[in-house]
Amino acid sequence: MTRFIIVRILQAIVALIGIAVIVFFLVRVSGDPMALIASPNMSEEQYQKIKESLGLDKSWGEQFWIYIKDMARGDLGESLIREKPVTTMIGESMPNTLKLTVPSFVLSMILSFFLGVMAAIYRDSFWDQGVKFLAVLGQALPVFWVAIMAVLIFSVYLEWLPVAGMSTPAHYILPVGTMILFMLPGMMRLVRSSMLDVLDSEYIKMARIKGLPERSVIWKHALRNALITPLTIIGMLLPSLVLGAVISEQIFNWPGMGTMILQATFERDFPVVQSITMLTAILVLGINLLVDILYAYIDPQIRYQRA
Amino acid sequence: MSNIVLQVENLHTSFFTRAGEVKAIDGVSFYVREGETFGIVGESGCGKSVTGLSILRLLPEPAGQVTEGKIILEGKNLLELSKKEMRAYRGKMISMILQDPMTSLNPVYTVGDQIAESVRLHQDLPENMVEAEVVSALRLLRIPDPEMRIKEYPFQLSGGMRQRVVGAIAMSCRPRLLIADEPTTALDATIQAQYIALFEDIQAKTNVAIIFITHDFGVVSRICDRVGVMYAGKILETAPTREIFKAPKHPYTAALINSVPQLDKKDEKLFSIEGQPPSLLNLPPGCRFYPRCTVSMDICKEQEPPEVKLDDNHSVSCWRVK
Repeated sequence: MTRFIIVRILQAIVALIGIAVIVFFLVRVSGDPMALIASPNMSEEQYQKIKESLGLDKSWGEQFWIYIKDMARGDLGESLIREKPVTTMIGESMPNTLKLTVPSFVLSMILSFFLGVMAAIYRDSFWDQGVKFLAVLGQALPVFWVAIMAVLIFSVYLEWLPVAGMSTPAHYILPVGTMILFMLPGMMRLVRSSMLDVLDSEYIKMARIKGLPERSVIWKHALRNALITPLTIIGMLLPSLVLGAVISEQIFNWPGMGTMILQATFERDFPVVQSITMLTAILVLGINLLVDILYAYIDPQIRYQRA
Repeated sequence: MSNIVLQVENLHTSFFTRAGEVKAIDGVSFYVREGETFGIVGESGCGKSVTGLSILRLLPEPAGQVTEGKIILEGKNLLELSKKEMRAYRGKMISMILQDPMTSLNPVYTVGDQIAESVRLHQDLPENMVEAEVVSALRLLRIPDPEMRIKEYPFQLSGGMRQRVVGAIAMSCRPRLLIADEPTTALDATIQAQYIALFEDIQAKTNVAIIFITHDFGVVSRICDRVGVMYAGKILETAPTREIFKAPKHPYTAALINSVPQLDKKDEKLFSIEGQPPSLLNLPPGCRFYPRCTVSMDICKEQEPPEVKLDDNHSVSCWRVK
């Protein structure tokens, strides 16, 4: 298992280097930030000076080398627009994003497992139909539209919930709800179908033959087997968590990393875009590794293959 | 004569589907004595497995329902028990072995865990005695190195070994009745012989009553004391195994025995019964084997033959038998 983890970490490092290269050149292809910074009445001399101070006069190759060297030292550079170190900016916005994403993620997982398992146990019941309806609805409606409608209904017309901001717990309801809507439907359907497969199996019949109460049959024998497929998907779900954060933060004016990266992209603020992308990549790779370890814990066959 | 462990009387089980009521079991009666093996033989879909599941009351609900009859285990009618009482019977008094050893063990728990679960559930043992009990169950099924095996997962075992583990789970609480639903069908021929020998051994040691469900008359001849031949939800003939092979009374029994390939007859075409079993959705009146019977008479088409007792152990439902 240790060997497996080491190999996976090395693979992750290779992936990160690849991502760094792609992001670095991709943002530069998007356009020259000087075009946004410069004002029409600036002299040629001033223009050159600013360009030099931002390091934009150097070739892309040189810039890349500096970027990698600084990153290795933990220096993410300075924002081209805000003249603040990127680490400071991330330090301010990351906690806000975490306050939004962590509860959303945890809640959607708990909900999707609970609802999915229930739908499978009471297959074709009113309950199951309800879950199916919810899943289809959630997947068919664009989440940003639902969020805007929710603001319109609950905040504007009914005035039950605040429109934007993050000062009270009530402020969390709509943004977290939006993110749950992003992750819940797919996961719930997957848990349902995975659970149905398992419930149909012979070893579940055996568990009943043993005289086990239904509670143990479901939560001990069935769920652990039914977890294997959805768990793999959790790793793949993370990008949609990031996407959900960007959309949700934008709609609810949440001062997090999603808002920050969106602004930075429009402003061609290279260091900020690069840093947030890298950070997201590290997060996704890290959690994927965690999922793989969990996977081995749940399924002994995988544990033995890796030993 | 030893005691009767299980007595099934006039059992009717139906599946209520959109197309209508499917009478999977249509009036089945039989009994099994202590230390005896009763075989239920028949083609697929004749209701053999449903009989087993009806006894355990594990029919797929809500579609499957026992609509009539009695299932009496040591004086108690199982159909009158509450769900909770029935659960206490399962695994402890009655156990079952399923057909496919590759899928009937839970892949994520060790062999030891899966046996210990039954032991803990039904036997009031202190925790330090559980493992000894698990090992003894594995020994009963003649599994080599039981102390090592308990730590292994099903995927580390061969098919034959897995089926022994399934047997060990079933026998772990020394049940009074064991229902074996085609336990050897998925095994290789050589392993099959070993497994059957194992059954005899277990029975000699524990005196368990066994219901052996199979489609294979060859297996029947080796293990069963008495046999019930089932066709389209009904037992057509019940007799001691030797008697049924020597002188089958029902044309269906005779045809089934005839379809067992014989090694000493060369170059002969394999015998098969023409036609298909009837749909259980709407059975025609008369004998259910009538459309495929080669010796049918006029009455067979109109009236269902009553059960005729030839002696204490042999009964047949056929108009030809008087």
